[in-house]
Amino acid sequence: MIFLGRHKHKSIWQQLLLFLIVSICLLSITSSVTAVWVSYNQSRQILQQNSLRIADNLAHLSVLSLITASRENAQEALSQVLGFNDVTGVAIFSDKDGLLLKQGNIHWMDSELDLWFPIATATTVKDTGQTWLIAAPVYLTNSDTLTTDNGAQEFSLDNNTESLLGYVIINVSKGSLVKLINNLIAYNLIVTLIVSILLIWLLNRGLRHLTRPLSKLSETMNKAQTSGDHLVAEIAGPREVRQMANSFNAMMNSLERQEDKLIELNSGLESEVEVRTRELVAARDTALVAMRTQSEFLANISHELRTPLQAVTSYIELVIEELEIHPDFDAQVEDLNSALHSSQRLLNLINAILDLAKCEAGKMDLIVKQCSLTDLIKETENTIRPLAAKNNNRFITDLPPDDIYLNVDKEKVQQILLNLLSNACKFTEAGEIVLRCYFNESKIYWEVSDTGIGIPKEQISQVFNKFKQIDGSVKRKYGGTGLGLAIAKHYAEMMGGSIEASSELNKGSTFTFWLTIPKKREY
Amino acid sequence: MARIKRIYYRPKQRRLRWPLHCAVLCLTLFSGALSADTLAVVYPDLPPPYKQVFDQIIQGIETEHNDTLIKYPIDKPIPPDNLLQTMNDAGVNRVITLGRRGYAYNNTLKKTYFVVTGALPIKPNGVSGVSLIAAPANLFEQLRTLSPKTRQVFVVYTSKSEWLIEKAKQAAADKQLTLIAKKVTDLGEAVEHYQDILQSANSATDAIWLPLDNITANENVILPLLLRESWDKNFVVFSSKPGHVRRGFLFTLFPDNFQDGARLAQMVASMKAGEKEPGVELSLTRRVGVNLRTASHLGLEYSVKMKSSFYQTFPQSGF
Repeated sequence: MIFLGRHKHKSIWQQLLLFLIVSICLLSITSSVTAVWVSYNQSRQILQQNSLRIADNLAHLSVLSLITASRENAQEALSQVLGFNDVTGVAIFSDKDGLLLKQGNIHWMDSELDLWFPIATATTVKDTGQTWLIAAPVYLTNSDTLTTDNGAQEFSLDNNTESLLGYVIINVSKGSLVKLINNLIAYNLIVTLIVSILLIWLLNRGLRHLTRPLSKLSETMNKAQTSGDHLVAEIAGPREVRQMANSFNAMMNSLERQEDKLIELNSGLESEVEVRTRELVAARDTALVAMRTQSEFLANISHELRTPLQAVTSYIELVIEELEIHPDFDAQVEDLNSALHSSQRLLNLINAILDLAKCEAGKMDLIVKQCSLTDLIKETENTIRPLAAKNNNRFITDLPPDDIYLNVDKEKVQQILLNLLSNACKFTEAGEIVLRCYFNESKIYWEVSDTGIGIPKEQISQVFNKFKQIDGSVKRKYGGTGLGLAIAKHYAEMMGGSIEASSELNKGSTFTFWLTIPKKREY
Repeated sequence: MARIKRIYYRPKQRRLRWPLHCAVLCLTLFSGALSADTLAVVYPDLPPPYKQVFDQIIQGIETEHNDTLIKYPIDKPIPPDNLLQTMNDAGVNRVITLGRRGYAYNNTLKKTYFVVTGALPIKPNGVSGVSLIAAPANLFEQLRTLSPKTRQVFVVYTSKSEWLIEKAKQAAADKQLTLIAKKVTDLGEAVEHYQDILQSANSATDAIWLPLDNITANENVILPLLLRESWDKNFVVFSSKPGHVRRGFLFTLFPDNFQDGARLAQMVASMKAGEKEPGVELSLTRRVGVNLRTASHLGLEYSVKMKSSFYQTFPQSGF
């Protein structure tokens, strides 16, 4: 499977062919090797058995020569045996006198003779790569080959005896065996090769024919994928391929129907979207108009509200100035002061409402300029000190040792600080109000803490809501529009910062205002 | 223990006239000294064709023994004493042992009974019986008939056959033949002598006789040598061993089992009658087996009448 995995990119016909070729090759090699091995073993056994028989025959033929110790008699026996193709050397040994005669190519060491003999039957005494040395004992017997059965023995008084006369050794060459093997291998290879080629050719044709419908189906599928058309495959080929083609065609039909539905749905959706879009546009336009109207209203109303009020305030101040000269009009001056105070309050309220409306309408602009932190704090301090002194409060500042320059909307930052500090002054009597400023790598913090009346825990989350003060009684005692913190929070968020509050009832509050602005030092 | 087969056999009843019957009966009744002669024959129990040999011998025995004959075919060896006891119980008083299995009981039986032996190539060594070895006189007679030109016979023998050679010398002289006997002690010497004979003898007038001798007639060495050389040099070779004629020698004498059986019965009867032990007699068989192919090779021709008188000829049909 790993093998096929490497050839994933090939077609099924090619993969099948490759797989079959490998299988055929393996089978051919295995069967050839097996055939050669079996043939070799059988031939070897036959040759060895024949050689043992030849040795036995030589032993029979050598009896006379050993009895007579005659080389001439031995010569005849040896010559007969040397006539065999594979026998390359022979030797006859007498048991008492040693070597009688040797002929041909045969060698041994005396030490080997001591190892080999005695033997009882023809035996292979040495097996080298090229030859066998086969030895057989030479016995003298007196048995009549025609009367060896028990019946014939009944008419004789002699027992069949045998005595050892000596040994014969023959040297059998394995040359014919080697030649046989080589021929076997060669013929096997040739036949295997020819048959394999034929088989591969047949397989190739057969596989092509079988896999053609599958290839066509695959082509159709591919074309359908690339073109996007709903193509129909030809139903042909083996059962499985026809089933696949049928399934593909069914899928294509289903896709076509679904596509038609989609198109229908799409067109419906488009119309609806168009309608909704028109409605949204109308709504947007209406909102824009409303916003524009609101802005214009605000702009107009601020001018219409502020102008008379400013006039009223101015005229009241003017009358106060004139009446303060005459001591008889002290009571009138006091009344006019109250009216002035109320006008200012109304003006402040209108300003605050207009500012908040502007913030909520997104119309409040930031005017970012570089300003010195020290100057900003100084100006704020100058404004707040009199306010703090009014309730016998101590006002303490805790600033960084070095001045830094900030790119901020200075007016808004001051407004925020003034709102926080004025609240602190308002809600603290004979206490302490601290303005602490510090910064780190990314933020600058202003912390306003007081020792005033504090805020109940359940109301602390509502302090930044519009028109919210602690309760009605507090409002009535301490005054204020209830919009300062809401405006301060809006300003802070506009500048990318925020305000957080923490407090403890009757102990005091701390408001932390921070901005994420890079600081810039210039000296 | 093997079962002893006893086969009781009654002789064939001759047609005697009633007076003769009475005479015999009277003689039997009033003869204090006479008693029934029970002859036992101990022989190997063999399948055919060997069974036929012993049957023929027994038939021959029966022609000479009119009384009770008990056959003891020996299949497997039995204790000699058991056999002796059985024979005693059966009232046996004389025994013929045949073949090797029968001969094995001689020592035990002859202590009690008169024993003669047959169907073996026995030689004089304390036994009595008919040897399978054909009498040299008959051999030489056949030689004169089958090879008239032969005047001299060579024989190589060992001490085992010495007793026979003495008889042979006399027989040869009686047949106007010269017997040249050479005694040897081993096979090598025998081969050497045979080779000398074959070298020096005159094939026209000389012949070679192979006695029943396991050295000088060695089946594996001498026979092939003589067969080859005699054929090449046209020598007449004849043998005392019947099987040799099949292998190519000119002739031999086959045993006459019937005749031998009758002679055995006579011998044991004479021993029973008090005569001295006859010793070993040679077979007087004249049943000649001839190898016609060898004869033809040697240039010997025989008439149809002569051929028909041969007991067996070789090669036989089917060879």
